[in-house]
Amino acid sequence: MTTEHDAGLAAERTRLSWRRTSLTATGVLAIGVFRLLLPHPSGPTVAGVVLFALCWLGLVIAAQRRISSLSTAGPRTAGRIPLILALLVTAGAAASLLVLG
Amino acid sequence: MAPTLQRIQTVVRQWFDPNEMDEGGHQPDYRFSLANERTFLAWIRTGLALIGGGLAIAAFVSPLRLPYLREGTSIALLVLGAAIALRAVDHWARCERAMRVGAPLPRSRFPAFLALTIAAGAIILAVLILTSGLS
Repeated sequence: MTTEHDAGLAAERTRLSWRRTSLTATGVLAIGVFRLLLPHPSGPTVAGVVLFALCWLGLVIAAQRRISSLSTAGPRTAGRIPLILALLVTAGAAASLLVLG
Repeated sequence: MAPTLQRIQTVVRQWFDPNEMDEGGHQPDYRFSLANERTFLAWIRTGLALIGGGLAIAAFVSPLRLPYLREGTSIALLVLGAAIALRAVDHWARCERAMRVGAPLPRSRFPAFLALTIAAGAIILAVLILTSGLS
């Protein structure tokens, strides 16, 4: 293996970073889901948590796609995935506003 | 007005894919690209943490004695979290572009702004809670 093509652990570290991000999002989703387990969640609260769960699903799928593309030889740059991720997080924040209701 | 609009258009297009944007410049060492990506992800997690805080307040804190304190705190955390996420993708794209054309990495006041905002917010919240009595 030449130094030029030595990937080192950069791709591995980046994969782990995506996994951590998925895990963080899952932790945040758990907060919302716990709220639904308490008695009498209001309509907007349920809607907010459901919408947040959809954003979470999108985030996990995006992360998974990026992780698999990092696993192939010659990793490519992330392309549009960062934008998609940022928009999903923003949408998740908007959905969380409903939980207040 | 037109140049402003054009600049906004350029910035937004850059978000979509900074590498498609620049015909000039060259592909940077991808290890640097991956490091940039990890920094972006760290910011996303920071944003998610603030959103988690806002969501936890919305979900579990019952209305406080001070009107709107609960709503205000929750909304502030959620807005800050969303702002961090959007700023993260902007900064990621700028860094990617700078590395491509060999320019210095963009400087940013955002970390300082964020630190001061969070510190000020925490102090204000502590004062409000202490002066109003815990409810």
